[in-house]
Formats: sequence, C-alpha cells, structure tokens
Amino acid sequence: MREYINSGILETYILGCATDEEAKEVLYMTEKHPDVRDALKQLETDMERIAGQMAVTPPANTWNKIEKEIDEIILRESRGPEIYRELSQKKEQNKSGPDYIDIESESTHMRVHKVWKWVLAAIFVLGKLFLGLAIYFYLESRQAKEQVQELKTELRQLKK
Amino acid sequence: MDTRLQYLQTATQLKTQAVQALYNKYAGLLLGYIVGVVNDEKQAEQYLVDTFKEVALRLEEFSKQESNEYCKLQLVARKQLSGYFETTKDCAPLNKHTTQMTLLQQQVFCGVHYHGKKTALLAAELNMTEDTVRKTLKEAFSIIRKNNGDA
Repeated sequence: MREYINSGILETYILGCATDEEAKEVLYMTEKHPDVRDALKQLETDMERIAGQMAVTPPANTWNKIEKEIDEIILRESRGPEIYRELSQKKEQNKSGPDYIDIESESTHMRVHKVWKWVLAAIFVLGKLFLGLAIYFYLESRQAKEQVQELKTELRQLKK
Repeated sequence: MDTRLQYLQTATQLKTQAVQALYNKYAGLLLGYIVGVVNDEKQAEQYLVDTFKEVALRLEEFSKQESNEYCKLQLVARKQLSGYFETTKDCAPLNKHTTQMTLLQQQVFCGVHYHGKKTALLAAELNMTEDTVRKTLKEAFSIIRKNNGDA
C-alpha cells in the first residue's frame, strides 16, 4: 500500500490530471484502504496550506460582481421554465378554438407583401406615361382636324 | 405570486450565502493560485468571478463532505483556466518552492499545476514514462512540504 501512495497517483488525482480510470481507482482505494484515505486527506490539507502561503486578497468589489452574476443565474433559472409554461398554456388555449383563420377584423389597416410597393410604383409611372401620350395624340388629332378644315375651306374658295 | 417571489428570494439568498461562505474562506487562496497561472491580477480576478459563478451552478457538489472544498474549488478554477492553459507555453515564474526543485521537478510540477497538463502528455513531452512523471510530481510535493517545515 505504501508503494501505491508513493507512486504519485494521489498527487495526480488531487491536481485533476489523472485519467478517468486512475480517478476511479483512487476512489476505490480510498474506500477500501484507510492508509490511502489518510494520505489523500493529508495531501488535501497540504494543498490548502501551500495555497494559503501564496494567497492574494481579492479586490474589495469582487464579491459584489460574483453576487450579481449569481442573482442573474438564479433569475434565469426561475424565469426560463415559467415563460415556456405560459407560452404553452397560451398555445393550449388557442388550440381549443376553431381551426381556421378569422379574416374579419376590426382594424382598418391591412398588411400586404413588400413586392406590391414596386407594382404600385410601376402602375403609377405607366399611368402617367399613358396620360401624357393621350394628351399628345389628342393635340395632334385636333391640329390635324384643323388643318383638314383649313384645306377644305381653301378648296371651296378655289372652286368659286 | 407573492409566495413564488418569496420562495425565489429565499432560494437566491440561500445559494448566495452558501457561495459567499466558500468565497470568504477560499477566495484569497484561489486568487493566489490563479495569479500564479496568469500573472495578471485583473485577468485573475475575472477568472475568480467565473470560478465562483460556476460554483453557484454546481453547489450540490460542495455540500458533500467526503472531499476537501479547496481542492474541488481549485479543480473548478482549472476548468475555467483550461482555455488559458492552451494559449500559453510560458512557465510560471519561480517561487520559493519551485526554486528548490530540480529542472525536471520544475517542469513536471509547473506542467501539471500551472498548465493543467495530463501525465500522459508530460510523459510524451519529457520522453519518460507516466510512472516517472507521477513519481517526480510526488518528489516536487515533498520539497514543498519540506519548505513548509512539515516533512
């Protein structure tokens, strides 16, 4: 057993660099052999004492930072399931109604697809274009009619 | 709603008090270790905050009596430092304990304690067996104990 203790496996275990198999073995050995358990406890005490000699006092507000983080964790833990529950309940309530979408609405507004913006802009531009063409052809036609009328008058005067 | 709020407040207080008790007892020790690893007090403080945040999530593990609280805390801190371990190759500066060690003992002790290396990796790096690495680590600890006047 002394050989096992002196192998350095306890130091490896306590520093967290033992493999899973080694860690299981150490736990098994500490349960079965009081010598190993005592050696491990002694090593833990040593580790704590060594750390005590190298201790550095934390800045005054460090605990406040940690406390704030812990409060956030607890709030997150408590809020998460609650929101989920509430959402689920709302879904359940909605499910109890009829399975179709009610398109009758009291709202005076409606939502349309964004593509309609361009369609309406195109309709507006084309409308203006056709209006301009209509005015142009109307004026052309009126002018032509006036010319025809003038020609007819000239012809009548020539016949006389 | 009030009952739920009261329950939440009590749960928060209890958890915070439990973590604070651990903090009051071990924060200085842990910060000393973390400073030894990162050599930067501001960065070390952030790792300390992250460590105790993790402790709050794993508080049940600390309610068990079978193993040492400080060693468990140090393992949590090592987990937080794992990203740092991967980025640094520099060995921690020598202290009163490591100056007493041989070069091999320093390499093994710093590799495990300050760089979180596994024995298999160290054995490969130092071209020796894992048994030799463990024994060297044991020798390094013996030197530290001797320095503390305990051997």
